[in-house]
Amino acid sequence: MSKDQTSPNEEHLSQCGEDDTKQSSNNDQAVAEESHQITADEIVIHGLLSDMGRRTPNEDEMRVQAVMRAINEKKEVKPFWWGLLLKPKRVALGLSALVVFFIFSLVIQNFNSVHAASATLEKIIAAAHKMGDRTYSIWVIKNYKEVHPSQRKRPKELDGARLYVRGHDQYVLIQKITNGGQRLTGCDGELAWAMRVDGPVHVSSDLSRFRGGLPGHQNELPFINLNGQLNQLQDKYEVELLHEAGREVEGRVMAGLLGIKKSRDVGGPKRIEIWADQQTGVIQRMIMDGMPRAKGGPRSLILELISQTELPVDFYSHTYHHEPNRKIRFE
Amino acid sequence: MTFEILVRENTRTLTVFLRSRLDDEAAVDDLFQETMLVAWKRLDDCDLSRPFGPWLRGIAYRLVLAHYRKQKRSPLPLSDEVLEIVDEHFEKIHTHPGDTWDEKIGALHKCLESLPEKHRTVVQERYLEDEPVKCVADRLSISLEACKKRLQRARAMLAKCLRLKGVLATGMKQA
Repeated sequence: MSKDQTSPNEEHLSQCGEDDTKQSSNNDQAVAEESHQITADEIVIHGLLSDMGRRTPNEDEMRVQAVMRAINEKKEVKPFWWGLLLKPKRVALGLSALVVFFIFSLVIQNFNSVHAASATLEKIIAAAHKMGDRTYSIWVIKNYKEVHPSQRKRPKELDGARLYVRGHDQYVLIQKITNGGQRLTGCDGELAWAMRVDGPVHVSSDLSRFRGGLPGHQNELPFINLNGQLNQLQDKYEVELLHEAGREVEGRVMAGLLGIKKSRDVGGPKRIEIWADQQTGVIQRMIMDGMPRAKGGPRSLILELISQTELPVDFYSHTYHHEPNRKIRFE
Repeated sequence: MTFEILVRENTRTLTVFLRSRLDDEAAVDDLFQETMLVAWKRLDDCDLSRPFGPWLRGIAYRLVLAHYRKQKRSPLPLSDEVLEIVDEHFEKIHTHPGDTWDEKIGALHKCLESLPEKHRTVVQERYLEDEPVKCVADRLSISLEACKKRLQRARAMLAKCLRLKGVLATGMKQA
């Protein structure tokens, strides 16, 4: 979560600290009890409300299944090792040799695979830095949460949104909203901006200022920053070549990469799948699964390249998208 | 009693507890799994003649603290007294009449509806639309502090309402 946003948990925690200080200084049992009660109430109500807002359909069943699967996997490991210990020494030695050989083969195979994946990723990154304008369509595969229409005051529809990207820090994202209007968010490399068709233009020199409504922003990995994601892939994801790589789509040979996040402390989606033209390195399709969902929104997204047409020079500036007399608010 | 039954019985309360302490949903997912796995490994240490929920939340709470430490954030730990009241609330909800979680906390919707409009609005924006407090404050054209206060007041009113409806533990006699 970015620093300009206040975490409710931090609110609670700071309150608890103040309360604890009050207790020790006053040494008043009743005040202390009341303070504990208020803090506990706050925590539980915050949890209930957060749960109400973030809960997804079938969430409980999925959690139970995931836990039981993990437990079963752990149970299956045990007899194998116990079995080995019970075998005669000769069998154990033979098995050990086989295991060493198997591991060695895996290491070699893995090294080749990792090397190939890394080379492909470098090619894609190099292409992305060179490239001009690219236009992607965004499709939501799966949402985290179904919001009841009566509670949906300002939906930010990503399904069907269009993303225009130039270089490493210029973008325009156009989202349709359910009242029929549009929400535009963009950055020309010097100013970030956001607006609706009928409202003022919010402008800021903080380039990450208006990413608040976008999934992933709180983890410093906005999905709109494709190049940023590619760089992250190199360092913070386990990257491997996809088995189906090398297939032809519309006459182009495709290279497929799969990135799995190394640690939960890393921001961004848990899984990223990239399909790029093997020859040019241009990303044709990108699938992001397990998007950070502190703000709800989509769990899985597809970005699909629909055009590489060159756009006007000032397309990424807010002035291109509104009439000159529109009210501008600097933030 | 198989472990799966314990997991099923406690999934929702554990999720709500984790959501009360964590804003990051990915961390909620991970710590839920981790808590259950730790509980499974240490099941022999648990006195199953006593409620399982508080023991589970004890594990979860320690994992939450470890999670914050790993992120180099240092939340102030909750006192034992606070944790005890939190447990009382969760156990009260757990044993409240109703076959499903939604039935058990159905009163929360009614309490929400009974809030004064300005308080209901901040709750809806902050929680049901999952917006950061600052965004809610900006939208309502109020200061961040005023927004936080309004939320705090709304949560207090909801706690009072739920207590009156018997969903939360009575605790001490305060509003």
